Amino acid sequence: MVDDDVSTGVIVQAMLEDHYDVSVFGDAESCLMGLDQDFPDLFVLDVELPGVDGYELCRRIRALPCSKFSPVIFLSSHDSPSAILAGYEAGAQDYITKPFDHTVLEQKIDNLLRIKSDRELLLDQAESSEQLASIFMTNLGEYAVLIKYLRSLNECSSYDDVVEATLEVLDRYKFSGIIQVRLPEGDKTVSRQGENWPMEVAVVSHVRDQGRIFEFKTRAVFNYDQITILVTNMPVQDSDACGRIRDNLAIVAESANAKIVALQTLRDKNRLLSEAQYILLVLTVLTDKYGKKYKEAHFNSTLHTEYLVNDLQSIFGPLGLGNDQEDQMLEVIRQRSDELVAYYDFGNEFTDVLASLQEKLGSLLPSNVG
Amino acid sequence: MDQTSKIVEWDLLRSKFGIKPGLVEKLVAAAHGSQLNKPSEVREAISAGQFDVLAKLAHGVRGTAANLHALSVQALAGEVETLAIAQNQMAFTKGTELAELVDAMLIEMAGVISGA
Repeated sequence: MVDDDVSTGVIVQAMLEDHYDVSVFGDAESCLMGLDQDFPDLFVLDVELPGVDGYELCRRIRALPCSKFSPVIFLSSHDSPSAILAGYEAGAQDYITKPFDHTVLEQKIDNLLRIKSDRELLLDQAESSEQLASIFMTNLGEYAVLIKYLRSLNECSSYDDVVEATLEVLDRYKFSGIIQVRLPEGDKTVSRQGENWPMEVAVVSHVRDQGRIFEFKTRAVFNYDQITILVTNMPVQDSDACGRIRDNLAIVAESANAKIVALQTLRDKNRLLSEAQYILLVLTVLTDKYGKKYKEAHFNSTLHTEYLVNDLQSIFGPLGLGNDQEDQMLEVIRQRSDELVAYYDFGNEFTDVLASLQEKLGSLLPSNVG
Repeated sequence: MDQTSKIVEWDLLRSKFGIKPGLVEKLVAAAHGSQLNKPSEVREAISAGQFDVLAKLAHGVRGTAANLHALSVQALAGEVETLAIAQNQMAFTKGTELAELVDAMLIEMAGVISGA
């Protein structure tokens, strides 16, 4: 309260002191100086003051950023409409003329403080809403990075692609970090510094067995079977952001791990496919080659048996054998020759089995292969 | 305490502020201190022909008188203030009356203070 009339100060202080802390000043200057120590919830000002008058004091109070919601009530003997209007124009919320009823003053103070409290509550809620919206937008941005990463994983066709996409996520989150992928042909440790830097390899080797998620000061490690992601600058001062980023990076690491496993499976499958194609090719060649050889052997054995019979017949004359003897000998030779030729008949069976295997293998392989 | 005085409406004052123990006495003491020099200041302003000073003094007296329920003082102070603002010579005549009335009020208040 600012009033050079001490009697008014005594009344107001006495009537309000049970509910409020009241400070009374006799002039504007001492009031303004007092604001540096403690800013009041409400001002009661007289118009007539020594030096700076109440209107000017009100304007100066209103100019202070912290007075945004602190109401001002003028309590003055000036009761003309122009005096009252001047009070409102200076920034006051109410104007009470002297002589005044202290119960009315108390009621007006209660009302104005309640309005002030409501406005502050609304402001707090508005600020909370703004913060919430800000967090939501931040989350949205972080999720967008994550979704983009998951999409990009689909397009990765090599381990290097996966590593680069993962490094890009760290870049987008403004993180420094190291990524290690563990492959059948050996580990690969990568950061924006380069590949397989001894210090980075040593650091990752130290933390890769520390559990799924391991945190130490500003470092966070995400360990999966095929990949370790080490972030070196987690925003530990912002626990909310830290929690969100931790969740997101866990998803990044898990997805990268799954992609690496999928790439390995695909690679194994392609290797098997390649081997099967080779076997199919060999089988095809063998089937063809040995089929021909068996046919040739069968034909030759038949031919040579005939040659043998003919040769024997040509040497039977000089030997002076009887017809029965010649026939008997020839019969024995033909019979044995037929039995000999019959041994080559399995050749069809063998090539049939090879052809069957070839057909089965061919059906297992994709139609565009082999 | 002189309950029959016509300057300060003591009954009214006590009914209004008596709910706070010691407040009436404190109020009277404060008002007495603030008004003690007012009669002489009013007279000096009149002697010097200073309407603006007289208007301010009358304004101050009016506010204190209102708080004390000294209705006659309040009314006369208001009249002097208005006349002084209008730079009416009657302000000086009425101002002299006001100084005398405030003197009487101070005597009355002093009696309350000494009896407290």
